[in-house]
Amino acid sequence: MNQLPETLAPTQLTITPEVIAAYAELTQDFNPIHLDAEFAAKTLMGGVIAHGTMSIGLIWQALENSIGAAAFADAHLDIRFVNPVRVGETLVAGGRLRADDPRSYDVWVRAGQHDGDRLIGSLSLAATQTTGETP
Amino acid sequence: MTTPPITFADFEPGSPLGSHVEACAPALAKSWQSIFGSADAGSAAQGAGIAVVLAMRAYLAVVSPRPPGNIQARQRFQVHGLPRAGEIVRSEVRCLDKQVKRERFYVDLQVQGSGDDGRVLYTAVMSLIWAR
Repeated sequence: MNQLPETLAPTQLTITPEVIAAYAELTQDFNPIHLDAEFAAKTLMGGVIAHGTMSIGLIWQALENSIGAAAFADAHLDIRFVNPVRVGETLVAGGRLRADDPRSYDVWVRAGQHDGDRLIGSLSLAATQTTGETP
Repeated sequence: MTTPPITFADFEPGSPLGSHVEACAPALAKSWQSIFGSADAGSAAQGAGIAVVLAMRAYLAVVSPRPPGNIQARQRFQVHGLPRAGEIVRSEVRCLDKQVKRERFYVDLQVQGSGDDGRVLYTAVMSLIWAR
């Protein structure tokens, strides 16, 4: 296996009501906690939140930009949604190679203006090469 | 008469919940690009992103109706292979576990998708806080 880069190149996405609506349509996830401010205000989230899995797309982009398509041959992501993503936030996804495992990254998605983790976890790659065909 | 939403009590760990078959249609790629940009159209990132979308659509189609307000707490997602444009993907949904923690109802659901040649594309395990 070739040596992996120390970090994943950051990627970002700004969350707007239009982005949330588009992702709801794409996934068919019309949970009112993402779309209905009045409903969401009464939940434990206290307001509208973006779909958690939207952040995964950013991690995939960071992975491809840093390593290439071959990284997806066997990629295992394990993430926790530790803080809600709100409208108006700009999310930045990134990762750092773990010192104790040369095939795994600590990954995160943070909100730029508040510098707070929204998602944290790990991304493990198997038999990764720095170049290669799409799996 | 409307069907009542699926409740926490309805889940049986270890039990299959159903399957969902859907094409990896060009419209999905177009929608994905409208959110994440078209610079990487046809990329592996897009393919993996659509695999996540297919897992979500399968869960939402099979586990229905749901109470409003469910929240994802954790997601494990393993990419084994990427769906091809136009490929028919069959996703199987099952309940892995359920627990009550700090007065919240946690449900673990597995969604596994396979391509039209039978190869496994993805295995997702979503941990949900189930609304009451």
